[in-house]
Amino acid sequence: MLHEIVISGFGGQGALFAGQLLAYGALEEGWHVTWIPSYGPEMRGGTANCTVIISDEEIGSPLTRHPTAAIVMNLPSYERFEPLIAPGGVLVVNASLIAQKSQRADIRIIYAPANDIAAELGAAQMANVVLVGAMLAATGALQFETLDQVLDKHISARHRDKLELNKRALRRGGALAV
Amino acid sequence: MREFMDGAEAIVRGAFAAGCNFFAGYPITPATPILLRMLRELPKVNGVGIQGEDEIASIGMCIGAAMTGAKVLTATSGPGMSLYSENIGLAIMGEVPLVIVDVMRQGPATGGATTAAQGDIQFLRWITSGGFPMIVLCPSSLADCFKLTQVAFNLAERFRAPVILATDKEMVGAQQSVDTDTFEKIEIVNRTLAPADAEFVPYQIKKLADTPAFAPIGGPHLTRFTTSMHDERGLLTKKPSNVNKTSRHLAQKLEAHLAELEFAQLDAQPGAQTLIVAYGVTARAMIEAARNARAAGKRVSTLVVQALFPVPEKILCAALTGVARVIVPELNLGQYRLDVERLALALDVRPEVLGVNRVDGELIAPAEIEELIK
Repeated sequence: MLHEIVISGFGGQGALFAGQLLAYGALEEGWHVTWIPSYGPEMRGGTANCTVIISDEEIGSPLTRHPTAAIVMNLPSYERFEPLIAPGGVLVVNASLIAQKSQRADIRIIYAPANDIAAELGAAQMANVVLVGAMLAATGALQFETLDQVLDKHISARHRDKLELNKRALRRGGALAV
Repeated sequence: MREFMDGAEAIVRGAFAAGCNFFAGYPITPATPILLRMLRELPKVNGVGIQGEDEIASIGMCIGAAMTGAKVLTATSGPGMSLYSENIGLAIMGEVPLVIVDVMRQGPATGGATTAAQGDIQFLRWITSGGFPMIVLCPSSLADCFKLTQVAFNLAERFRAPVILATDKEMVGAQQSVDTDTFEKIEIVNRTLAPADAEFVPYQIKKLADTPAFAPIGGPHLTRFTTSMHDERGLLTKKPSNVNKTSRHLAQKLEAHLAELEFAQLDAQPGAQTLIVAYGVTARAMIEAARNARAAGKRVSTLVVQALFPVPEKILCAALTGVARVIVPELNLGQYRLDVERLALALDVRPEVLGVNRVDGELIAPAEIEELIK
């Protein structure tokens, strides 16, 4: 069992937090996991991505050249990671902000209008959670119920009122990949 | 217990396990997580944590606290090490126990604040003016962050010297699942105190390689402390025999005890013609590369260097003997390779020494190392 997942976007889109959700979920399910952030010096607007590796073996290098799954939240991230995904892998594209269509036939691609879905649910900043849902449904990396528990434990007090909305966002994303 | 943590947390826990009770520092990416946690945790053990007005003030406070008897930690990154440099010289001259974490980022100058690198290591080795040896340790796992922080405190106390823990942005900032039962708690060493009821001479030693006994400022003895060349009373001197004695003592107190300073982990495979030598985050790529190569039927040995300086020459020479090629991956232009090449030259059968070097802000991938394993 090995999932090498990249989540990438602008700073402020929640790429790093989405990765932490996955990492805590993997920990909850008893896997080995690493979460490694990469970001520019800016607080907002710069590039931000993280790599989450989930494995049933001890993890050596915490980085990957060819992720088995990637969530790309903006165009620069799409252009960087679309060519790198390992054959047989999964690409989740935030179709609300990215108009491009991939020509690759050797990977599964899910176009998720995540910002639109999140706004419709009532909180635009949940786009990252919608995308995580789509990725999980496509890869089966973790159980949705595990992520519910993780949200219960780790959502900040400031966003506590959006806990149930986040769980719905996760499943709306999941429905896109069924 | 299974936990999810980053290297900053493991270093902080190691510092507390070693009895640290003072921290001063100034925020800098990527070392800030250590500062924040120390400021949060120290009050709980009646310790003192201070965010200084800048780096120079912070390390000054650290030296002052250490001379009153505190066990002191500070943390910064490359630009902060530049500012610490002068006071590290003071800590060497005054024989001040002190642990300094350098969370390396890309240089020179402000360089790449959020970019991992290993470009500081030869700078750390020679960080003082005047040219005196430094102890530089380097963790490559969370368990190492915990253990080597304790080792750093022990060596600082044992030798009354500043000790550097060289780590990097990825080691400190990446979070990993870890079984904290694997964290090794080691026996803690404290500096030798001068007896309260005997005459005290601040820097008195019997042999050059000895470490003088310590009396805290504010304690029972009058003690002296100076940045200048001094005699054993701590008084300024230009007398050649005194100057010679102090200079040679500052080097010999470490160099005569190299066996206590060699830390490295050799994973030797019988018949291997290739040895990989790595440290810090790069050692993780090495271990994975070796695992893959062995799975493909190749023979390869690995050496994780945990004490970069003084160079663990005995362990390195033993590992270099009998191999045909040595691969040294590092996130700089080949700094530790210089020392590996120096040692390889002295062997009867000289192995070829190859570097794998990245300075583009990316980590070295296991595949880049694997390509060179024959």
